[in-house]
Amino acid sequence: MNNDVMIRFSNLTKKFKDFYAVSNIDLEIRKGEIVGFLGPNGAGKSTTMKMLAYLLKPSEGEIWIRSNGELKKLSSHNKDYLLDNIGFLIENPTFYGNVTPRLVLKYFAKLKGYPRKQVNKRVEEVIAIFGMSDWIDKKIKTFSKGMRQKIGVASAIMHDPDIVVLDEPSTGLDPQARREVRDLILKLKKIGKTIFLSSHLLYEVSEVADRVAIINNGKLIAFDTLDNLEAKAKKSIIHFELIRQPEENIENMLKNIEEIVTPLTGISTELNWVDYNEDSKVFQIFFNGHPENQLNILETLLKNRYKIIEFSVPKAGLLENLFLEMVNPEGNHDFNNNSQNNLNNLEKELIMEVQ
Amino acid sequence: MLSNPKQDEIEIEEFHVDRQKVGLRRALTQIRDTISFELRRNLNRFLVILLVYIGFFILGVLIFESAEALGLPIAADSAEYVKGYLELNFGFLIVISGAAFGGSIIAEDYHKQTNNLLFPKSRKANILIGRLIARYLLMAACLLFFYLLVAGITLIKYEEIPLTIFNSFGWALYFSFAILSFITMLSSFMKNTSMTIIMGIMITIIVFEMIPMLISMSGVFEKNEFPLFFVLTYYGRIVSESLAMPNPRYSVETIQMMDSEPVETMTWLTPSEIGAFFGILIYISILLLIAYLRYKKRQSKGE
Repeated sequence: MNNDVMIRFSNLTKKFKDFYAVSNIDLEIRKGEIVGFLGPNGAGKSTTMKMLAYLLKPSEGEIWIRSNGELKKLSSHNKDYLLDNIGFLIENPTFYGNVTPRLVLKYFAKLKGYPRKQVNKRVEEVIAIFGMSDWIDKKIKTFSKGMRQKIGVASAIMHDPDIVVLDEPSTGLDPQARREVRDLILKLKKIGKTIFLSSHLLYEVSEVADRVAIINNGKLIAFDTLDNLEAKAKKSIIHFELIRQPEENIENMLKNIEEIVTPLTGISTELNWVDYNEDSKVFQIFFNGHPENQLNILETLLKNRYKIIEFSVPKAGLLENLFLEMVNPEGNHDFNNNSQNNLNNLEKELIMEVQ
Repeated sequence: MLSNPKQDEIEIEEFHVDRQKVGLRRALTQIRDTISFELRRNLNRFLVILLVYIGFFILGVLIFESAEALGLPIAADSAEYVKGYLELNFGFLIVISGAAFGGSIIAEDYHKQTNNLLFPKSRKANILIGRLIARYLLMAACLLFFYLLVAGITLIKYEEIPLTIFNSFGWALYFSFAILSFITMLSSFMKNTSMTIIMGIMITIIVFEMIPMLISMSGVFEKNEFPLFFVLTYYGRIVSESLAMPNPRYSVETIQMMDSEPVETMTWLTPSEIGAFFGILIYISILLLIAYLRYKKRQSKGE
């Protein structure tokens, strides 16, 4: 297992005067996996990424990087050697406005020692991946924020590194571009790249990551696969929609649904809750996550003449709440107070469990 | 608009790339590539500065032609004519171009956070050397252009070009590198490119010029008997003075205050050639060393 480790953070700490931006992080990233680094803004994600890129020096702890089959401790003496096989996109990249993507990407590829004869071809290939071939010779100052972000991601993979580190790669991108970046990340994984991806958007991370590390206030509060995190939660949330919007009093309807599904959710009575989101018109039922219970709930709802047109258990659903609770235990969420209190109880359990 | 219909067809191929190994050769390549990139990136800036040089040259021509038309004394020979142009505004032009080319050399990386893109790709020393060389080449090209203009008009007016113009050009190149080094050092401390340019111009034009005056007023050196070797801009005087070396390096004036005895005081006009060579060399070495150490130590946002 140790031979698989590509990057290791060991007790990594960064202190700015009296403020701990990153505190005692222990993390291992294995070959070929995508690790999502999740946390709210200011949690310490970018600081960690910058330490990995040697833009900041750790106050304490170590960073180990695999190169030529050997895991080596990152230091000023070997940083060129160890970082040579990593492509970085740190924070929102700012490019020189009066140059073209072709010029700047060629420069970056050459800096990283990409074979000179292949540089031109490589630039065109990478630009084509992002669908920006028509813009390759236009000045970057005319680009939108999203386009600049794409050039930033392109610059990270220009030299074809084995490890790609992306800090908030989807920031400022439109949905189409986000999908392109996500697809690109999955393509990179497919060809064996190791990817360390930071984001404050759980959805973005849950779409691609094999494992997720959650950081808040500089501390790592969870690190596991999405499935394991959900398994640790042992609970999940059913989302369903009715063919018509409820006509009767929604409170009565929720009460009725709660009555009929409570025996089927597989969780203790005091943790049960059913909720309705008026904006999305989606009902939510908290249950133990077992497919059998899920099926029983669906059958019961149908038997009780609820005309359901959409019934699902979104993967990010519970995790999103789990994440929000972990990083902001006192935060306000969309759920009603009753549901929220129940969730709070559960999340407290979870936090204890994960820690 | 951005989407390329062909992009779904594009697959990332898995292939092994033999990148150039890290080491001296890579470092030299990085410097070369940085020079090439910086030359292209600063092309617009170069053209603007070139226009400023042309503007100042035209201004010089107008002043000297007007003076001649008004019957004021004109330069006795070609060397004096060239010297006239250099004394008129050339020092200012060197400072302006030094600030324009050197102001962003380090500060920009932190101001615009381009450091996040660059530093994981190359050592700071390689970036700094490449940038310095590129910007110095552009600055030197501006100087050359100005000298060609001055040589051209001197040839028209005097049917000869003084050979000492080559000495002067050599000193101009050397001194301009010292100015660029000073601005680079300043840039390593500043957070903003514009502020670096403004501060650079103010310090070189105002502060450096005030130092000799302040020293003279303080009375530390009774007769100003020591050359102003500690003032960077003092060395710039050799650029014009070298047209007619050897010159008296100083003049002696007698100053008498109201109730005091008359005092002889020296005004330093130019450094000696050997003094200027070593003085500028020491300045460049110290300034670039400070700039490099500061650049090396300076960290990203959050420092």
